[in-house]
Amino acid sequence: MAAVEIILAETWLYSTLANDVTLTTLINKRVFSLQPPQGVAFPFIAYQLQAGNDIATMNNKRVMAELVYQVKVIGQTPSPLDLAPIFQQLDALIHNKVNQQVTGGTIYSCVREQSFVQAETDKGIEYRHLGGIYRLEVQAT
Amino acid sequence: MEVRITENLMPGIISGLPRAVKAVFVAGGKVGADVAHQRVPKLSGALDDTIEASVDDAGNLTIKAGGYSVKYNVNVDYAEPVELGTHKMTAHPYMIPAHETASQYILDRLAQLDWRSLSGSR
Repeated sequence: MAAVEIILAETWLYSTLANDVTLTTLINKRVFSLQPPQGVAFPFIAYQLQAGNDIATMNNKRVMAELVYQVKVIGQTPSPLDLAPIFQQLDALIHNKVNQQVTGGTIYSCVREQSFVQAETDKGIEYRHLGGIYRLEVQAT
Repeated sequence: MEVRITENLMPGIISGLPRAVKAVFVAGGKVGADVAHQRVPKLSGALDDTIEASVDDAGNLTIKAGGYSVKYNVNVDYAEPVELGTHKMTAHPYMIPAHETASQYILDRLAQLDWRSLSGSR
């Protein structure tokens, strides 16, 4: 697993999603890696590394890392349709993007491989997750 | 004088390929399931008990988790929230790493298939 590449990927994901004007009007920059702070308002975007591996030459010189992320919007609602505008915007911002420059490296590509919807009930309150699994190819310079 | 040796490996390869490929998929499934077993949180062990890999006659490799745990005699319905997290719990991915590992294993092994051996010529 490539530690530096993970930082580059997360830096790009956060800056892309938190600095978008449309998303800001919808979720007010509530974009979190791993877990949101306690008491955060809904809906919010969360992303987390699911899997990853390094791509290296035969003499173990690391070329880049392939990182698989889940990126999703979570809302306190019984209907995932309520989350669709947020998910559509986040997907438009990160899916099928190539050669994204970040300080310290390059996101060669980010492509969604599948989408998912998840239902959750906690203490009688309904939550829905609408998201995708994205594969990023990241190179540190 | 012309000397000619003709060898046709194709019939043997064609007949031996499905069995060889299925064996690779079965092995890949086992490798993937092993990864899932290693990574899944083991509070009770019930979710771990439901992890299994299978390959059907059409060649579909399935690695699954959740459902009925025989060992613990309970229905495990939290396979997805463990993989993807909840609104207040981080994900503990175990199935996507299993899939990634199995896929890479299968691609590597398919690239290494010994075609001559497959054809039965040696």
